[in-house]
Amino acid sequence: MSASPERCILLIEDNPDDEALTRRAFAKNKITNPVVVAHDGAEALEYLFDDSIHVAGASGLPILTLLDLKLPKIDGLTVLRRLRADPRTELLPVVILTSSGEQQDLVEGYGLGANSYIRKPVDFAQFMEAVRQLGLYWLVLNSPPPSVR
Amino acid sequence: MRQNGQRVGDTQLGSGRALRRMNRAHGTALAILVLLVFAIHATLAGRIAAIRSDARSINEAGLERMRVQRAALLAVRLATPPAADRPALRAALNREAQRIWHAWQTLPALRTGGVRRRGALTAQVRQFVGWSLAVAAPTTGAADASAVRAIIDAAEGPLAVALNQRVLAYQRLADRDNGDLSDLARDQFFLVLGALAALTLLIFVPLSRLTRAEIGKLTDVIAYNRTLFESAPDGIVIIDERGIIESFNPAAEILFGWSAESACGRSVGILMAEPDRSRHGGYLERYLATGERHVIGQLREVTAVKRDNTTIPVEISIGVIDGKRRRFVGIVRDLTARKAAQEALDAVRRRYQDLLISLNVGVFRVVAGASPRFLEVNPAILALFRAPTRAALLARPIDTLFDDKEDWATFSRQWDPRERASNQEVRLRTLDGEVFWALISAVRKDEDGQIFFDGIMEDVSERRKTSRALANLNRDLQKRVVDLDIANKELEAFSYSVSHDLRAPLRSIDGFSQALLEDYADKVDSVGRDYLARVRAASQRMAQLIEDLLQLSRVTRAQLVRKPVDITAMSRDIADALQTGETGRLIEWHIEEGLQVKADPVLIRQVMANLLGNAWKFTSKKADARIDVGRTPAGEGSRFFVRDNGAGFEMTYADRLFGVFQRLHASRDFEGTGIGLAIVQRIVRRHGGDVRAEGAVDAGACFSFTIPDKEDSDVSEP
Repeated sequence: MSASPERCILLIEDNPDDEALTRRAFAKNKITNPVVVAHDGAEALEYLFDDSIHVAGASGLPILTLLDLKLPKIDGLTVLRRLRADPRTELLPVVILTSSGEQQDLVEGYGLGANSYIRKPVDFAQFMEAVRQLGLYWLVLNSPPPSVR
Repeated sequence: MRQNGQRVGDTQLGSGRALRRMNRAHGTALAILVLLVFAIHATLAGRIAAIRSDARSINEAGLERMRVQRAALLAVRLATPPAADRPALRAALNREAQRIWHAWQTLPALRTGGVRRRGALTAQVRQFVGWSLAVAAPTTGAADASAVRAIIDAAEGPLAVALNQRVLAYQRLADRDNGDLSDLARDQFFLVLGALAALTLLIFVPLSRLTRAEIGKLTDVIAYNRTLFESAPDGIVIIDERGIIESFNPAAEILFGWSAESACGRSVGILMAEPDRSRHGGYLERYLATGERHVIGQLREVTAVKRDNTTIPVEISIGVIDGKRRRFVGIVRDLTARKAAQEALDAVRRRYQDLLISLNVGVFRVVAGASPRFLEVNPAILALFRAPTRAALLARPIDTLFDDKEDWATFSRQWDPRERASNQEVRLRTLDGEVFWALISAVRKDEDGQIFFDGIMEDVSERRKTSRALANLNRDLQKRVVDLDIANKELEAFSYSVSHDLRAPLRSIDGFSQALLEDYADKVDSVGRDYLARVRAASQRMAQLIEDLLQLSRVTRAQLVRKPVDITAMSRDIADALQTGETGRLIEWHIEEGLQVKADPVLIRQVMANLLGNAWKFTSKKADARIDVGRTPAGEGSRFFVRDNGAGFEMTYADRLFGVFQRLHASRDFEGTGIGLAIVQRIVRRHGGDVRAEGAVDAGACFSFTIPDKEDSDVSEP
């Protein structure tokens, strides 16, 4: 069950620095999946609910979605709520990747059906390590749900 | 008491009809008796008259004979010398002759025969009288001898015999009369006997019957009266006209302490107190003299004296028994209990009155109707209305005291029984016209068709002012609470932004510095690499600062949930983590067993982590490092402590330890943001406890705190 190289990773991130650092971390950790970036919540939803993706079949959906919480237009928790409310995306693996360590964000995030919650460390070394493990886990070890497969 | 039955027996009860019946029988019997007596009297009178007449005849017959013989004797003496007394003898003889003739003529005839006929004898008597008169005729010489001879012959001869026979005949007649009389006496005896029998039948039989009935009734009356007398709850004392006690009932014995035996015979004065004791004689005398009833027939309250000279209040009523002798009955009631009750009642009434008078609350009674007015008010009401006198207030119609006509309408509506009287806050006006607020609570009372309102009234102007101020204050407070809430929300949003947005640039700084080092290592020399390393260190330090600040604010905001916490286990956990994180260090841990507290587990872990972390940090340069965790003294309300033998601090700065960003050590000696102890203090204070630091430079430090076991100790930091 190896990850298909075509399957993309959806990164929902408004901060270009973070985007660059995340991409760098992917690259350093030899994660070669294409990375689609949505710069706010609206863009993310637009992408995920775009019919062409679904016409393309399950392969059109990202194998992993990394969701920041603090986003312009539509915030991360709302995006998650919408995803979970739609039968097409309700099982989509979503990992919250955020700066916030707030208790309420953790509780709400898991409550809405996040698969994982990772706090972005300031220390880039630590960040690298986090992304490495993330990729290993979600792209290699984890079996995605059938609809996403 | 013994004489008493007889005394009350004088009363006539129910014997009138029997007496009338008895009187009728009595009358009949008397009439018969009277008739009988008349009959006897009539019979006897006839007989006795006859017998008396016979007796006179017998007497006269005897006397006639004597006179004849006397005349004969006188004639003889005349015939013989001496002659000197002849004239006297002649006079005597003459007188005698006259008498004989007179007596013969008046002599009654005999009723029965057997005696010689009167006619023949009359001739003889006339002859004899003639002779006697002849002899008695006055002469100087001697009497006619022949005449004398004839007199003597007649007196001893046939005349005497005839007269004797006549006397004898009369005597026989008298004997017969005697027999008749004894017969009569016998008849009368039987007659009287019969009358007596009749009397017995007619009078005594009904009389005795009547008497028996009367006695039965009287016995009842006596028993009745005796029972009344003896079982009466009131004392009964009966005295005679001189005021001497005759009877004394058991209740009186108890009342006065005198036994009946010792009281009877004494003056009633022994039972009286002055001045009644001395006046009593006067009352009696006046009553007896004038019949004026001063004390009789009315109830009087007086003071009585008991045998032991104590006095008791009594009520007496005096009656008069008008029997054969007059007596007075005194009925005496002990008023001690009633007086005591009355006094108790008076005391209660006085107390209530005092209460009403001294009460600071106005108490009133209002009479409803066409012109409603105050009926009763206490002084507090007068003060409330500033009334100069009670009359001034009572004269005012109540509706004019109401400032607001609406209030008045509401108040007077309660006169309708369907409306419930209740509390009402109204605007009233004092008599001098000043308006004030009053709270009236009244209850409706219906008595004898009148409607009253009893209630209380208080001046609440001041209270209203206060409560209005209080309401304003409350409103302000509520506004401030809202403001505070908003501020808190803003703070939260701020914290969130800080947590999220401040960290992102730091990550960029750190990340791109690292990228620079990795990707352009050949273009940066050692000094450049050092600078980049410093940039990274600074950004990470800032991230830590942000982290700690967020923690501090979280501690303040987080909800406190108390649960039993095992500090011993928690400390071991933290110690293990520290040991694992820095394996090279050798530290002697002394963690006391059984350290339990009721606190928020998350927050208390923060406290222990910070304190143990500090101890760990400041013992890092010590060769024989030692950290103690314990409690002193053991038991509740004690202090938990974390002691180390590390770098310590100067006690002068102990207070500054708990301030935010306060550090006593240079960063190059010991790392740290200076927020950890501030967090510890906040958590401990939120649990209602306090935290203390003791130490000396290079002699270690000891941090201790208390966690009071109270639910209401969640005191937020100002």
